[in-house]
Amino acid sequence: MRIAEIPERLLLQRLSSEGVGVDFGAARSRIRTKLPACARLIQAVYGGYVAEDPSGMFDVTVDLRRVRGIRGHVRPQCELVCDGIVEQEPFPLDTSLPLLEWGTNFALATRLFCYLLLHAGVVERGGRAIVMPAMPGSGKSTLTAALTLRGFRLLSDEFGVVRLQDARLLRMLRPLALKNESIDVIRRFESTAVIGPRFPKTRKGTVAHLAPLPSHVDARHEVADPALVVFPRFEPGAGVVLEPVRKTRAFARLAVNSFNYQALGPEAFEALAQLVDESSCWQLRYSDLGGAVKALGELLDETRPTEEGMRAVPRSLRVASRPPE
Amino acid sequence: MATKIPSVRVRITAVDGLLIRHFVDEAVVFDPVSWDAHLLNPAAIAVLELLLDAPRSESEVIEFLADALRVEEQPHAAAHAHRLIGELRSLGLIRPAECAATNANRRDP
Repeated sequence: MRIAEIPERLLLQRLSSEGVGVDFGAARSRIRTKLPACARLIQAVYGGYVAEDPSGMFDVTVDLRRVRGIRGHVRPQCELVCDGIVEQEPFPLDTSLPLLEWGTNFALATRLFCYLLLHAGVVERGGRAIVMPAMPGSGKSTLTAALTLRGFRLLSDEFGVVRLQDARLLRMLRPLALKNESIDVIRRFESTAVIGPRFPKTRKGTVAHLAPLPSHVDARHEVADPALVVFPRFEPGAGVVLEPVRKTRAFARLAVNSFNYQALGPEAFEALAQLVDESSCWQLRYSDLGGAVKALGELLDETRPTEEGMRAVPRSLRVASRPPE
Repeated sequence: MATKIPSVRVRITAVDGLLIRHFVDEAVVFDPVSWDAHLLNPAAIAVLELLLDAPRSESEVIEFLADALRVEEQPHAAAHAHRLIGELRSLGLIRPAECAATNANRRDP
């Protein structure tokens, strides 16, 4: 049964006792909380997930709880206990969902060493993936969200999960965190998008979460082949500009953007080299979100693997559109 | 009696266990000791692969590079090779292979 289909009172009862298991694809989490407000939020953004049996094995168990003590009466706070340890500073009680999301991401990034984890948004179409590594503020999440609302399937907004033995991409399907202006940008881009409530004044400004589509959740165990590595950068007035990136430079930028490349050593090197080798690598500067989505779709269609490696893309595609004069 | 000072002919070789992956004409190299990865240009990767094949002297590396360079660049092969060897050594990708002592300087008593 999907979480959205569980009556709210029953969901809270489960969350506050043995917990609810959630399968993200490459990892599984067991969520517990006794906070009724948080249960409602979980139902909103995790509604498409199946409530898994909480008695099995999980990569992380998170318990979201109210901070006890006198301070809690003056300024109510919540904290996230991951596998019995509080790893984050407490958050205001009314921002329990952002704490759950960031805390879970942190826990996964510091626990999963069986995969190479890139800090990247990843989407796929037809089993061929676009990996979009980027620094915070580059527009990665906005672009990832827009792509998933235009026919691409979400693998992850935060983690590019690379299987070490063959460099295939796995899914880490988590609610997609939109920040500040990008919330309204995505609302305007697709009015039917299911976006949870806004949380103002968090450490990253105002945050809201885009719920993954149920069909994307159902595909959480499908793997994808690497096809494109795109380094996105939102740049006012840029229009849509795609420029090729040398593979050695792409390799270096991906390694720097990884959560655990240094810890995995030769296995990570081999997997990353294979991923880069099988991908066509590009820099995308954009200000036109719809144009960027269209250009990436065309680029993916035009870039087909051959026996000699990735075929060169027609020159006309290298600059999809010029910024307005 | 003259002091016997053997001439030393230092040969250099690539360190063991390097992982090299080629991307068109460039490459990335993984150092199994430091776990660092390095991006190498075509000249550096050519020299490194020459030294992976077998230990060489610097003069052999110069000769190899001179053959690979364009005619107008050939007079600079020695300086180029010297710089490349220095850079590869500072990255820890190559090391002295052996000290082959010869008695070429030996004078008969």
